[in-house]
Amino acid sequence: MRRWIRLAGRLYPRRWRERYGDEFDALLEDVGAGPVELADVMRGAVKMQLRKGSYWKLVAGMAVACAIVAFAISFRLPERYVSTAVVKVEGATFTERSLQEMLSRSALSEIIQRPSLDLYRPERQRIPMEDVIQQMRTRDIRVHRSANTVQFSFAAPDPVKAQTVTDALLTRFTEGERYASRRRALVWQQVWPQSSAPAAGTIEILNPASLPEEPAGSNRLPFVAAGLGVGLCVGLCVGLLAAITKRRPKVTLRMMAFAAGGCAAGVAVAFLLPATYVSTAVIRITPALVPETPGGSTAPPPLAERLLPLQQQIQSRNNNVRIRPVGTSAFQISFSGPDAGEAQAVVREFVTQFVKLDATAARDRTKGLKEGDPIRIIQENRAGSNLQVLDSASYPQSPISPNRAVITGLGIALGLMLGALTLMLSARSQRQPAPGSC
Amino acid sequence: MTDPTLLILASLADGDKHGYAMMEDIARFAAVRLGPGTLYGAITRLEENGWISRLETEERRKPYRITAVGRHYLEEQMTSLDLVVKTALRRLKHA
Repeated sequence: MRRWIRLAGRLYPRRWRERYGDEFDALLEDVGAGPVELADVMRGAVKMQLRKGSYWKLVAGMAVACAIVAFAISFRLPERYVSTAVVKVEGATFTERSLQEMLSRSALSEIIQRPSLDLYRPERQRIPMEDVIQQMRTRDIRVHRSANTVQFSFAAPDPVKAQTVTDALLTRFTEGERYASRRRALVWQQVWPQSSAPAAGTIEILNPASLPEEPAGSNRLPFVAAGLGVGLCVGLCVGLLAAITKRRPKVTLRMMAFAAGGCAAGVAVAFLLPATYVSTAVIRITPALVPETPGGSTAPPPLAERLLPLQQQIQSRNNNVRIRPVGTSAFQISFSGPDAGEAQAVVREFVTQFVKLDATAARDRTKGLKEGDPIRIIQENRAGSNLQVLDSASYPQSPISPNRAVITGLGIALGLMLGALTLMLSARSQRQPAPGSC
Repeated sequence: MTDPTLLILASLADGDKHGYAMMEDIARFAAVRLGPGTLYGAITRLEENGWISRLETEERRKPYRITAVGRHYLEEQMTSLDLVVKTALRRLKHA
């Protein structure tokens, strides 16, 4: 501890140390060496830096100290291993569908909860499964599509688990493609037995899921840079505050009082504003398996065209419902409301209605047609039939608004502005001559 | 009373002392343990105000002496403090 106290003594300004350094070091040898003494010497050093030292030194010192702390913390961050697999897809028309199925909530949930993997256990104890899946989709899984290849990768702290998950994703994707191709061939045979179905696409695994030996590029540098940035900001704020306090202590006190008032008002407003919860669900419009003529196209009409009238119709009745396309063949329904359970119930109801309407439309299209009738089979497999719920209505755990941090920050800013305004007004009133004086 | 400035002046009123001797003296007569940072922060301020002066010696531990201005300041402060103490005691008696 005495060593740390001596090091803390080095934090005093150079000019101060030139005059008092020797005798101060002698005193440090005489006094006790406990945490109280260390804290006292450090507090004295900061105060002396603010009184006598250069503000730029203080800012630089803060920045370096924060960077060192960030560097130390970065060693505690878990390493991440990335496993990658590459598939060559040629002539296949179900890539989009297979990817959607691979990334669906049910598919990822099964992988996460697989006993041999047991992924995201700490996160699952803290946050709902929907959020864990969203984190997996957006942060850890990467899908890169080029002209005829699809690359999957998964990042995890355990290299074996990273490989297993990548392999599971790859299997789900290839199986999805093969199943869709087989089903199309079957339906085609029923509808147009005289003509042959288009050849199934080929799927070739160029690189199976790799077992990463080294962790992925270290994220230590950005972490240290962030620490440096935070240190610079804190140092600048402390330096600025110290400079103002030194010259005009009353101004600082008044500004701090207004900022505290603004902060308190911001917190009060943030807690008084009603919370808004958003529940979402994703539904896919399945592409047609077979065209209406042997040479025809199976591509569904653009999704936006399909959704626009529906969106207008629903939003004219309830403005809190939003429908937006996700990719080229899926759409998301969301509802925002003051109650999380109600938001989920509304979205669930919409999903049920969509599925019912779709089933009714499909029944109407095949009404009076016999089982096995080619027209019936075409109608059953046409684009837009058999809507598939990729993500069921989620239960929102936390509100999306109000953003309490932003409102509190605005309160502080407003308080500071009011403080500055009162200072300006009082300065002006002091400059004006008193009535009756010449 | 815990103002380190007055405590140091009161300690030096008795004779020249270096930092550690001041700490020990203050702990004895005021039962206040000043930390090294607090002590030297106050010594710096006192010297800047001209209330104490450092005695140049070959020793690492430099002794300090109270100046005439410092003694005058201490007397002023003690007189006003004495007035406050006497008034408070009188009022406590009549309460």
